Amino acid sequence: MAPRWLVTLREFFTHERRDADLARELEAHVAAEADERLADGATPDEARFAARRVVGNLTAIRERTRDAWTWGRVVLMLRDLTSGVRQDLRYAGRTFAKQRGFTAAAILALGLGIGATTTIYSVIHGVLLDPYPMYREVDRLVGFTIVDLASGRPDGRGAFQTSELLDYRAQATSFSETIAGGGDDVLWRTATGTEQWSGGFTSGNTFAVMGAGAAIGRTLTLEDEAPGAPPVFVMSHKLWTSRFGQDPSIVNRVYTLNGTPTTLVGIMPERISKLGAEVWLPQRLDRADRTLAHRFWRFQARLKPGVSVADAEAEMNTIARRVALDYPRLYPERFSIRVETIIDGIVGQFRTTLYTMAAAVGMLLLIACINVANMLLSRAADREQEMAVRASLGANRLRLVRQLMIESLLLALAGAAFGCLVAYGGTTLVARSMPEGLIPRESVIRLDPQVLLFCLFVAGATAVLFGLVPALQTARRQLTPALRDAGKGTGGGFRRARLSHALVVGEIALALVLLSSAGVLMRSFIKMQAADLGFDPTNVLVVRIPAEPTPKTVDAQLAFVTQALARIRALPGVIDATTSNGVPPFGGSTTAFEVAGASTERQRSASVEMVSDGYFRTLRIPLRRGRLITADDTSGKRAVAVVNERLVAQHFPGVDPIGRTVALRLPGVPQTAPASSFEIVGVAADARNRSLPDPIVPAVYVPTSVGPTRYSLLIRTAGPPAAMAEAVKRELWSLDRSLALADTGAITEYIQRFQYARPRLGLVVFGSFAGVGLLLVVLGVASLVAYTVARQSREIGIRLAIGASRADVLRLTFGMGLRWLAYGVAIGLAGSLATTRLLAAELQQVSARDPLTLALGVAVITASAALASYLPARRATRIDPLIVLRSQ
Amino acid sequence: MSPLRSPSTDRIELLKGTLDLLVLRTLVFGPMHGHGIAKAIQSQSDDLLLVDHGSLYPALHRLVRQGWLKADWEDTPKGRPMKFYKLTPAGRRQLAAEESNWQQLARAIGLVLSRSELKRS
Repeated sequence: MAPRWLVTLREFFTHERRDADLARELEAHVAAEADERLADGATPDEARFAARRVVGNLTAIRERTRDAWTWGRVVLMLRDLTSGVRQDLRYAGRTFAKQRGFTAAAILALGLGIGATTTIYSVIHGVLLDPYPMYREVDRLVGFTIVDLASGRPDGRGAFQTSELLDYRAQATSFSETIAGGGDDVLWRTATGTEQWSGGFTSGNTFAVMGAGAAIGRTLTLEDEAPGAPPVFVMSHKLWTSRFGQDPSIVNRVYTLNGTPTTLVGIMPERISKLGAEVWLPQRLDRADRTLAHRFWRFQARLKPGVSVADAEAEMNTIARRVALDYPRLYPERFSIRVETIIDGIVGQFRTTLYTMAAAVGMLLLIACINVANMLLSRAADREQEMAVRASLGANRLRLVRQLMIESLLLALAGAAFGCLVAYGGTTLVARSMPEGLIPRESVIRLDPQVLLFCLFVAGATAVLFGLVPALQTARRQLTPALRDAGKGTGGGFRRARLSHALVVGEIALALVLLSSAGVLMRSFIKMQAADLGFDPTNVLVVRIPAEPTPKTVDAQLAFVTQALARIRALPGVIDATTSNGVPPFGGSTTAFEVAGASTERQRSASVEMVSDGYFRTLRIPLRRGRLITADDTSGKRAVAVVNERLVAQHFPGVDPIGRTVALRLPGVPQTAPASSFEIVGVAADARNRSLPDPIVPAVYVPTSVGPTRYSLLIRTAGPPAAMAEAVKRELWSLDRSLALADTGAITEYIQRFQYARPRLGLVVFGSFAGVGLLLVVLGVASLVAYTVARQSREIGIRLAIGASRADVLRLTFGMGLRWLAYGVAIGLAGSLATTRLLAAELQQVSARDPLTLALGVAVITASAALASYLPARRATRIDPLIVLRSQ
Repeated sequence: MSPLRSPSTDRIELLKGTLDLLVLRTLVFGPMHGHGIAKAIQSQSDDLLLVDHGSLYPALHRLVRQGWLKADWEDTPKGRPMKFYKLTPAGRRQLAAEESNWQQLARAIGLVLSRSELKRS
């Protein structure tokens, strides 16, 4: 005999079959009984009647027999439940199939809301919140900044001088490990020429502390930095891919870096770009090493277990008081050391952006949920009568609720599936098409499962909650009013309609806020791009020439530059060429200067650039007074200078600067040396010399002969600058094979990469929010108008019948949409004014309350909402009153 | 559990499981369908026991479930297929056990009822 549980299980699945069997059996029994009577001579009817009477109530017998079958009532109930649920599912399926428009709209709204929100949040998460997924326990890694309390600015000095850093290292007890590093150029000499890479000179234990192992080979260790250790280095994945085609055999080869044969011992995994370097070399900080004395390093540490960031900060501040006494030049009068995790270090600068983005994300989800809620509420009105009929027929309330819940769940599920698809597709698309330089190198954009779950939950809850409204209504109210009237837009429906209207108004307002934000950011971005740079950046090629390990003498340098310029200018396709120690629009280094004969309290400072002749000509910066720097100035090493208008306005107000003298120490000249004097011979027009959002600072241009270190060649080409790059490089190498060249490209590229990244990110994020939000609003408005029209079709029919014109009907329905629009815009404007203030930090030259943008936003939303309500409203005018009235 | 009707329409309550015993016993003589079993019990008891069909079918199905009977649809001479119940070997054993129980029970009750005075142990 089979075990009981197996029997029960079998019974569960064969229930229906055995039920049918039993029915047959009982029928046969009754028939047999009837046969007996027939044999006795009764008529068939009498026989049957008597037989039934004898046997008794068949239904009761069946029930009692069935009771004996199943093991427990639970199984029976479960059976009932599943069959009930199956029935509900079928019913739900039919309902959805009948109302395809509604179903599609609801699923679309849910899917877009879930998908878009998850995508954008995943981007924010990958870029701002968790930019270092490949390191271990990044929340225990901290960096240090010395903040000048008097300046009121949050940024400060993040680099420490060698012995200063060693002092901190020796005295601090809060950290289990510390690392130090700095970037510098690494020159790799090959047979054909020299290549320059960005090098990261960092403590041997750096990767161990960060928690990153090598992808191939090994990573750096503490032994590698020991004195006398064989020179080794590791390479970044990026360089390995771009320069060596991912060839695994290059590991363990020897490369001549900075003149020393160094062995490549490993390739680091993707996305690791510590210090922005392409290769890393071990660096030992030694107090005794004179060459390191004036170098600065970034300092990071791993907190000891149990030590909080606050504890570490307190300790560091105590130590800093002592250290500041030893290095007075490096510390402002009132300062403090800020200790923060490396993530906070990044997020900190984006903090306001982050909050606004998070708010925008929330708003988008809210709009989507409002949409779905509204759609369900609208549908609820239609179901009123249906629910009333079913309840009056004896449907148990629980059953009704269950059925509605199943419908809502189905809808939520479908929307969720669509949403997951959109989220997955969206993040993949974004990750693949994110241009370089827009986001931190090390970020990973990946679908964030937590966010997805959250969105699914919120959207699902909305769907289920608002889907249950008809059942809850039925339970509360009396049935007869609902049954009696057509159930179309009267009675309790009016109050519910108010809720729907309020929701739509809210939706419009939110969308307007998003639109304004996006608009303001867009205008700011456009203004930035159109900003007059002060020089003509089109078709200018930049070739950066880094410092050489064995610098030439000033004369040799001068000779080289003169020759190089002559050759390059002779190339076909080159219009003009020059050199400078800065790359416009980034200007030169900030240097203090004095004006002879006019001392002041506050230190004067200017951006000092060392340029060759032809600088202003090449960049097309006009001359205002006097003359420009000539070849004679450079060859004759004359101490002359050209200043910009800003300097004149600030330091020589109202007087002619020509002939006056300024004294300054050129970049690279130690503080101990005396300042050099330069006579001002000309005034040039203002050109951007700091980051684009910052104002132009006073600038001094001096001839390049007076001792440059690294510099850039600026070449104006006839055609696209990139095309000339190879030719230029060849010329340069033919003059000096050991010249390392790096980072060639057009100036416009530089500007794109370094200046536009952050505003562009903000623009893309808000733009997509606004776009999706607008779409959702259009969907929401259209569906609500459509449903209102459907609900009030009888009323409309009556009006048409008693003589209203179609135009009147149009005015009624379209007017409804416009009313919502008006309220929504009013609230939205108020909201925009409040929230765009948060964006003020991101904006250049555009006020947060820019009226043009707001007006544009209002126009866009008005147009969209108007269109969305017009189309269904027009359908209302086509209602045939006879059909409508007859169908009631 | 299983009521039976006498011509005077008072009901005599049978002990639980007695109907099962009667059904098993009836089937000793060969497979029978539900109708036949009811008729057999009636006639065997000289019309003293009229089986309530509401109890018969549950009992039959219970006995099948417990493995003491087997049920199959078969054609009758009249051409109408009916469900026939048959004793299984386990059923036979169960019948023997229940019969012996019943004998013992009947003897015990009989002894108590026949005492003319209270027997002390």
